[in-house]
Amino acid sequence: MPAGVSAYTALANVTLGSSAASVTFSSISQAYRDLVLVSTGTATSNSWQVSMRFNSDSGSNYTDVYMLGTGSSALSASGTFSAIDISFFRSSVTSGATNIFDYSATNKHKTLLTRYDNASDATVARASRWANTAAITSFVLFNGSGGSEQFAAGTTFALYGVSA
Amino acid sequence: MTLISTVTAGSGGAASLSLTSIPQTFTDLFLQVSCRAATAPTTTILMYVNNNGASIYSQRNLDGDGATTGSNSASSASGFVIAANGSGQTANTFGNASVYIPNYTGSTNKSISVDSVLENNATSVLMRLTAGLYASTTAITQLDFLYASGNLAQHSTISLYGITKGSGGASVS
Repeated sequence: MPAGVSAYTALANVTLGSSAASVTFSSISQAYRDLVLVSTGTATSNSWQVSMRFNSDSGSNYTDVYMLGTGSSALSASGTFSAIDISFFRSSVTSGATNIFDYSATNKHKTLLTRYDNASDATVARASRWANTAAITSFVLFNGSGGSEQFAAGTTFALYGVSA
Repeated sequence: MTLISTVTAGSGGAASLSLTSIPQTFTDLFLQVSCRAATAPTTTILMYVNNNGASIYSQRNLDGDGATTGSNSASSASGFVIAANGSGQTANTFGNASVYIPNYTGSTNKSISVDSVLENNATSVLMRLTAGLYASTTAITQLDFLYASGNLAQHSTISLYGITKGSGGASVS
């Protein structure tokens, strides 16, 4: 690792052996500056947004702005929600990475930058904020679009800590 | 994240930059790319996986050029296209890209995520986000970068990193 470049430390990982409705990372170590979540996966059926919620907070405390390219058009939108979207799963594989900055700080709202890609669908960049100063100790990933569709077997979520 | 290898074009440039015999001991690959064409005006560089020029690459791009945004795509292409500097951009500037390839040893098609920029001290610039796919179930052991014509300029460089995921630590319901 070159000097001056922050190192990734593997914190947790799950590869689904069968379909699942949600994945939870809890008791997250507070020893790092940032978190990076790498996701690679598919949906059991249909297409839906993969949403993230911190510390069991289901209030309308999440805001974001995104830009998206479908291959034929580009668009951007923003809003306030009860969770943050960090990917879009469908039958073909979507991969992405979410950077969660200063997650252990207790004096600032939490900012996220997310990139996710599906070569059959779109490329997306998203900036998000959790309007809460609490340190992030857990988060859950789930189908934010509603319905009964789940994460398909083989879906992987890997969590890394980044040192300052 | 572990540095696997760095390749750099020396004096006179290089026809290609290649990363070969990529170890199969990591989970994901990450590349930092800094390239400029020696003589060609082309503002894209081609990436080939496993020296494979078959028509199995596809991608969707989101572009911003400082004035407008747009989106375009390619399918059944014979190489993966990444924004990079041509010889016409401002002297001493290089195009840069970050490339992420998850699960590169797996037996599924390979996703490729790229953030790239064409550097230029002028109004004509480009920032590009790319969703890519290499439609092959073969593990990735080699990556080659080259311009469609001409050499890469001296000092073009590519660093390859390996990332190893952890185990456990999450609950499933």
